[in-house]
Amino acid sequence: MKRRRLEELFAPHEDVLYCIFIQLDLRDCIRMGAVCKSWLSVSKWSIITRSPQLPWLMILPNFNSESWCNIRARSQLSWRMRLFNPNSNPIPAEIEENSLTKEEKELRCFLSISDNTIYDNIKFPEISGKRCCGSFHNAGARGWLMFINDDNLEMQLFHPWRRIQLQLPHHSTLQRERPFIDRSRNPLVVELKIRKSAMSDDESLLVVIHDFWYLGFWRKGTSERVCDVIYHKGKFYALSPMGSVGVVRFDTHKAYLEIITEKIELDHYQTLYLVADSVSESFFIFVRKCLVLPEAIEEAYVFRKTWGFKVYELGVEKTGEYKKNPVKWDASIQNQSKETCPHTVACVDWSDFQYFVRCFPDALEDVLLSAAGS
Amino acid sequence: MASTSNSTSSKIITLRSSDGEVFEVEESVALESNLIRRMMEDDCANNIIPLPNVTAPIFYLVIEHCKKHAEMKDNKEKKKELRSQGEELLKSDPHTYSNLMEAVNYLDIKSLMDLTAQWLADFLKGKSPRLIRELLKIKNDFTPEEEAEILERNRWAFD
Repeated sequence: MKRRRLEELFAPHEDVLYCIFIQLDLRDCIRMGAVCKSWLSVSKWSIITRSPQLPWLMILPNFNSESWCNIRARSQLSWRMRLFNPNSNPIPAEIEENSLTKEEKELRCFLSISDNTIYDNIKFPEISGKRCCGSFHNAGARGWLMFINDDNLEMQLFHPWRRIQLQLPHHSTLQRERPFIDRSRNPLVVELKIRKSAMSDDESLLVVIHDFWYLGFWRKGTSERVCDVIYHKGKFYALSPMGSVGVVRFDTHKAYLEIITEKIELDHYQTLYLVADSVSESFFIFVRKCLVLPEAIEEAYVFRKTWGFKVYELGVEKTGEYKKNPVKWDASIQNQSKETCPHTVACVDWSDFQYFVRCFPDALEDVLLSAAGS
Repeated sequence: MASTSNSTSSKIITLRSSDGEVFEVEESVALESNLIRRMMEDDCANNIIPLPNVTAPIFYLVIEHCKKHAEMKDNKEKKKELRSQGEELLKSDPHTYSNLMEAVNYLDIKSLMDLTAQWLADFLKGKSPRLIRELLKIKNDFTPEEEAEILERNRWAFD
């Protein structure tokens, strides 16, 4: 009797299930793992053995909507006001009315570069209205993202897949090379903004890029200009705005950059990201290629449409030196955006090196995520 | 056994299913199966080839699909027909569909394996675990705690 009941079940052999699961995208595959125990083990197997899923880029959905424009305008105003009077109320009330709905603020999309899939509109109530300023992918720090609230400068770590939050020390505890008052003489200059950050394996050292590409870490400051930083195999690596990669060294007073690679040729309007390979020694430089949207240019900020990524691989030579290999991918996300939401992004205008206030919630935040569930 | 005199170009191969039924299949169809191909190459297929893991009704289905698959190569309509048949079977009788996949896997018929896996993958896309259990009549063998933990770990995938 019992045997007959078992026979009625849909129970293909694990090899057969595997053939099915590898045809599903990551999200569907994880979902299948909740059906029953044997499906869970095949789902895990399929996640581990599929082609590298990382890195993922985090994108704000539907960024060109009117409400996002309002949010950027609000952010700009709040920064300007703070410069003139640090104690001012950071949120002008009249702009607040038109801002995003609560739901819109919670949504993020993810683009998997390696298999060119977009995972749409995933909800994260915890990071509503906050800006991502760091992603960690090494050892104990793996999977954590760092968020900052640009209004009150409160910072926290957030693990998106496990949904854990950790509060960080307030932004004001970060030491700066110059006192705040010096730079605020020029009202167009913004101080105090964390752009990127990296964490060491034992989670004891957090390196951040603040102000305008200056390296800093808790307790010590520096005057190096860099545009991204990661922790990889025991060292901090940083990327200079010219596209050279360097190792971050620390002496007693400050951090500095020891350049190890040649420059990358850059066109105008490109943004650089440094991303470590999760399995090998090498890491990648991502060059984000954007188009300026002429209809959307306003005085204070520029709207950009991401139309692809150029990726350089940095591998270790036998001599221990790093060598920049030719382009590994030249991925385009142009065709993806038709069916899903338009992944138009507005971004910080770094390219002209003028220290104007153009730094609003980054539309494109780079993240490297641990393969969920594995 | 039926006479093979009417077939000059194509050899007939005799196979026996696990429940003892004997099939005669054209060589071109039988060779779609890598298992049978290997057995013939190893010269251990002179007489009747036994297939201990495949029952007669399932073997009928496999042969039917193999023939259709051979016909459909340049024919879009046949392709559609085969696909809708497969999906129909999956919806009406998931148990047989699962047996069909098992048999295809055992017989190592690559083309058919890809097809049946693709249909099922398309069927699973975007469906919730609960709906899948219901449609395919799968028993939920997780404890409530285990299930809650899986959902909690990957909430993004289930929202």
